[in-house]
Amino acid sequence: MRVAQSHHLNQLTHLGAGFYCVSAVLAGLLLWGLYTWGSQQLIYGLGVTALNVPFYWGAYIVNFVFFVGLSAGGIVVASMVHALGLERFRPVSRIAEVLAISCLTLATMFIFFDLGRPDRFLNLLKYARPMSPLIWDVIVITLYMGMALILAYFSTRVDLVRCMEKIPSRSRFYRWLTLGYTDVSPRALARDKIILRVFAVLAIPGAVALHSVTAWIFGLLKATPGWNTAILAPLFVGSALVSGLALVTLTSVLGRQFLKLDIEEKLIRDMGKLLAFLIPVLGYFLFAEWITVMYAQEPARLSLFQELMFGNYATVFWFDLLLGLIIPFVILAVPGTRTVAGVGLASALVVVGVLAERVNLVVAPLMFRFLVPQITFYVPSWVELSVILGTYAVGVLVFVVLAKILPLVEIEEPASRRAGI
Amino acid sequence: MSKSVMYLGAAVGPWLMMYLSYSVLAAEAWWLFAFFAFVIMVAALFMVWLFADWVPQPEATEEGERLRAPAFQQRHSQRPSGF
Repeated sequence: MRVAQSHHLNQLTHLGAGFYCVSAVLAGLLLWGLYTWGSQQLIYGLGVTALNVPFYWGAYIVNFVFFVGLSAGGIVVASMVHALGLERFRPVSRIAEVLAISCLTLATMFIFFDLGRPDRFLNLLKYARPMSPLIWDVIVITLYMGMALILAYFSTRVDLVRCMEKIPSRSRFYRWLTLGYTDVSPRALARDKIILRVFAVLAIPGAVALHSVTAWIFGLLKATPGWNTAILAPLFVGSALVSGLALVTLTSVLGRQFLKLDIEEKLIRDMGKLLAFLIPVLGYFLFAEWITVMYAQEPARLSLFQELMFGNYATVFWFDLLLGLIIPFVILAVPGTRTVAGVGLASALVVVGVLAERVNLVVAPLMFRFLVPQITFYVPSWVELSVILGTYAVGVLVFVVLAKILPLVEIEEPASRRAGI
Repeated sequence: MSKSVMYLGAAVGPWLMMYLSYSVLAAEAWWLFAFFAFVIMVAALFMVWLFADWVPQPEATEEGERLRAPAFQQRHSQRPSGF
């Protein structure tokens, strides 16, 4: 244990060439995104994007929905540890919490980009209407973010105190991160554990509410075929769980490979198994929607479905179905291919597959909001792509920097926790 | 600062903040501000409950910082199971 502990601390203090190179590339992308946003979109407005009639929601909203979904996996994994006591997932619980917070932050950033004029965000608060699902989303995201921060704080606090002890050069910084609450007596730890359990239990209905409300922004609009369906909220919850768990798994595999995190192969395989169990649930929801559309033959929804299967969006649709659902499921279900590399590959495919699903869910239905469908195609402009790339860089950069601040795998099991206090 | 003052601050502070931000913004949606004030009040009361009875541990004081390493070692040896 002592060896493992010093290994973790070395991980924190060792800033090698690789760290600086990766950070420099990410910072470069971030600056490029910031420059494009500032020099183009802020000055010339949303006209520099490819957003237009009928596609008034595009890549930004796709990414907003995608990242809201990704944040679910983190909270679910953390809840499995803190609320259900599934201790074997503990080594990845911190990664999960960090991912939940960063994904939710990125999701909020995409809303700001989509607003065009970010100062108008205040109007959302000033003239809020309780009947609007958009406002429900503002409320739910804020509360959910609060819960994620509380979970992350109380599960990390003990390790921060340890770092304060062991890395004197950063002692003040770590004390600041603990908010001065450095009590690690058994009584304090027991209290932490109760708080963690309460918030982990609260976070489960919180996650369902978050994804359902995000779905209702679309699903409650009667005029848009493909959105106005009751399955949309369960579908969002399902794809959020699948993509979120896939992201946590992918990050664990990459962290094990490149950051030499202490994550056992068996745990990765177990996460692969869990993912293999969840993918068919998502597939089932999608199938239930499609068979209803095909059997009922309601013209607008049927034409949307035909457009998805054989039209402009066919590539995205088949990519989602084959590479995002079926192939990862086969990789994860067959024990021979459920290796660390196999699980990593399958998770990456699932994450990209769910992004494809979001494109088809947000963008394609917008063509059919009129009596005469606007058969056209939306491709994000270079400004949108640059801003999105810069935002992705922010997410990865935050994670890379946090990997050098927080021990991403718990340093050592505290005695009181082991004793079950 | 006594505990009751902290509880009072946590209970009243968020509503004062709400009123100030609401009147500065000239907002129509008073209910949203009230809702967030309520949530912040609950969170603040929780924080006071959590932190108010906390007595600084030796390692958290200036002097304790100097004595940190030996003190930690000593505790470690007294309780072989860890912290």
